[in-house]
Amino acid sequence: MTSLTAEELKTAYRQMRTIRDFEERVHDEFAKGDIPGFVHLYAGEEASAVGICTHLEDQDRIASTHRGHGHCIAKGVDPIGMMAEIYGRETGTCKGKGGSMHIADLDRGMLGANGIVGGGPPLICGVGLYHRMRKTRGVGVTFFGDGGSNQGTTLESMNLATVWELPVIFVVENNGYAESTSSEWSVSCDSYVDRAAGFGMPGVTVDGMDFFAVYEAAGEAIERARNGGGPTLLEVKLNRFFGHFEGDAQTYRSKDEVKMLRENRDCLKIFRAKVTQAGLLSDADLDAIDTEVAALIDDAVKQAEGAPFPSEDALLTDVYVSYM
Amino acid sequence: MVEVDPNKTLGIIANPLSSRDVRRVVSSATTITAVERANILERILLVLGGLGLKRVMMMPDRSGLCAQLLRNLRSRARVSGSPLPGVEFVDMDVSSSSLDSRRAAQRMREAGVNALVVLGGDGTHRDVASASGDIPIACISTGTNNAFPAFHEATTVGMALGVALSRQHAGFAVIEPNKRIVVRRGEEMLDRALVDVAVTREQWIGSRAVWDPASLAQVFLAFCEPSALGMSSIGSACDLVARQDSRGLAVELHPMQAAPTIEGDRNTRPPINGTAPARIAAVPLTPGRLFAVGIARSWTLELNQSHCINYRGGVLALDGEREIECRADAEYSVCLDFDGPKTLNIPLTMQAASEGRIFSTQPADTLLEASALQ
Repeated sequence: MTSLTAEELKTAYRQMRTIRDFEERVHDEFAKGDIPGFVHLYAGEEASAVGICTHLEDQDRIASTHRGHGHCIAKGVDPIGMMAEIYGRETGTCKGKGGSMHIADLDRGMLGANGIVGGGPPLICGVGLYHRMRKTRGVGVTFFGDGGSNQGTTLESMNLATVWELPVIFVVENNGYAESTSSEWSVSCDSYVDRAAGFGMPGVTVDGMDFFAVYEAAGEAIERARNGGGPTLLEVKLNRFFGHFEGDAQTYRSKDEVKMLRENRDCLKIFRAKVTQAGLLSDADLDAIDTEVAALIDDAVKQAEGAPFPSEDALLTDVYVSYM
Repeated sequence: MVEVDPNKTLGIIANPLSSRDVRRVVSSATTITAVERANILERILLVLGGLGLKRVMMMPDRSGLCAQLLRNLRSRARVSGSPLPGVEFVDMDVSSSSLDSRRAAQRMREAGVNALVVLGGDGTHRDVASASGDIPIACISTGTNNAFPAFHEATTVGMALGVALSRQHAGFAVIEPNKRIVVRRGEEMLDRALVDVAVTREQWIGSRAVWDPASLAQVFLAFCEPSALGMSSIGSACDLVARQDSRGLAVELHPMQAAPTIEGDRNTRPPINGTAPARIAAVPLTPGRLFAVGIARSWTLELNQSHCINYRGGVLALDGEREIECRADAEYSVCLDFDGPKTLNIPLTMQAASEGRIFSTQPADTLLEASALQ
């Protein structure tokens, strides 16, 4: 039986709200043309990142995807640095040289967003091996999408994690579309739990619109990994509110689909309804968080816009790491 | 010889989501893959196609199950040329939730389907039963903790369905009524369970499954068989109630602080209030695990009598899945009745078919003589 205190519930809501506001704001600012590069937004999928990362500690590592902002925030990366990073400014998490798809913060256990589809799973096997050999009780969590699930790297990693009994969690964030291709057309036997079973690994499907469903299932899988039980696959069924990337005309789905999702399948609305009906938090508690987060995101954008770009002589720094 | 009436239609509701929940992590629950589910359906359709079935209506899905079945059937038709029924899909939106099974059952009933085959666990069967009316259901377990459907070989399920859908031998089909437990808030009917309603101390529906006995306050059971898993096993520790008995069972659990598992003693803790439960029973709440459950008392649940739930708040679990988050200010009640779905008893139908020799093409006495000669 799982339960959360009022403070824990507020923290979870604050993180989900921060992700949502961050992404909505990036969407608006990107449309103005001030943000360089590509951005892929996580709005709509917040319950997955937060439901899972709430169980993680600093020594635990996550490997993310091209749609990485939500994972970063949920793992504790500073949204002000992230916004500056996306704007390509010197004050950014990676000194403005990485941008949206390469935000990494090793101090917080965030190994990086990743432009390579299926790039996270092999990295997380390395993390798993480290924790297993050092007996740290730490775990690694890798996120990938329904598109990434078809990559050889993902399948090879699932095999490796199973035979080496690594403390890792494979999280398929299944939003139903690999870029613009519906998983109905691109994934044979598209139950990911079945794929896990094929490797001899337990697999669980959860409703990614319900924070509590993700939180409970992830908690059991992570605890199992910490105790030496080996890897688990978690399929989180969710929806993205924006296109694959900003600028995606989304001709592969109807406008009504997103409207319906925002009305009926919004994890923040569902969270609010559940905790207020159960009397765990009040609307006023949640409204206060909304106000606080809105101010934080405003501040992040202001700071990013006012920050300098990296200087030319920084071009060749931070490219290679010296291990000596 | 059994011949399926060519005007009859079989409905298929195969839930691609059953056996996918967290019990694969917290216990060693089964995973029946979509490929295996498609294989089960293929076997049923091969048998029924051979017996003359022409038309099948099926619930669509977005998990690859229908696609896999169609691939199998195309391949089978190309390779062997076996007669196969045409498969039509119900024209409906797919939500990839339990709503699909309910919606499909409703549409099939409206379309006049003559029999249903359902693949899933207790939850799927509950969903189908909400709309199946008097249509007989052949139940096949592909879920997690199944007390309602049993495991059956698809080939003989196909034969039993052939009997139920036949022109001249439908009378050999053994079709049984079932009990159900209706859950009400005040006067309003919220839902119904086929096997059990558990009152839990959980705060939310969350990942749905119930596997922690410490969260259980009360369990209401339509029947409890000694070989079943889940809530039903708590009932079997007190009393056995058959599916066709005109009564059910209610059990009040002892509020132990944390239930020790029988596997090891690392979780053993004393009861919360110092008074011992009447009994501590070892019950298989989830696959592969025996849990210690403190039982305070049990009593008979009479048919058609409303029983008030005397626990405020919490979450009600129906057939092992958390479904209803209770409001602290409302009255909830349960009522056992015999208005559950109609089910095709596969073993009894096959027994009747065997005794009646309805799968034989020769007169019975000729067959007897032939076997006597050997």
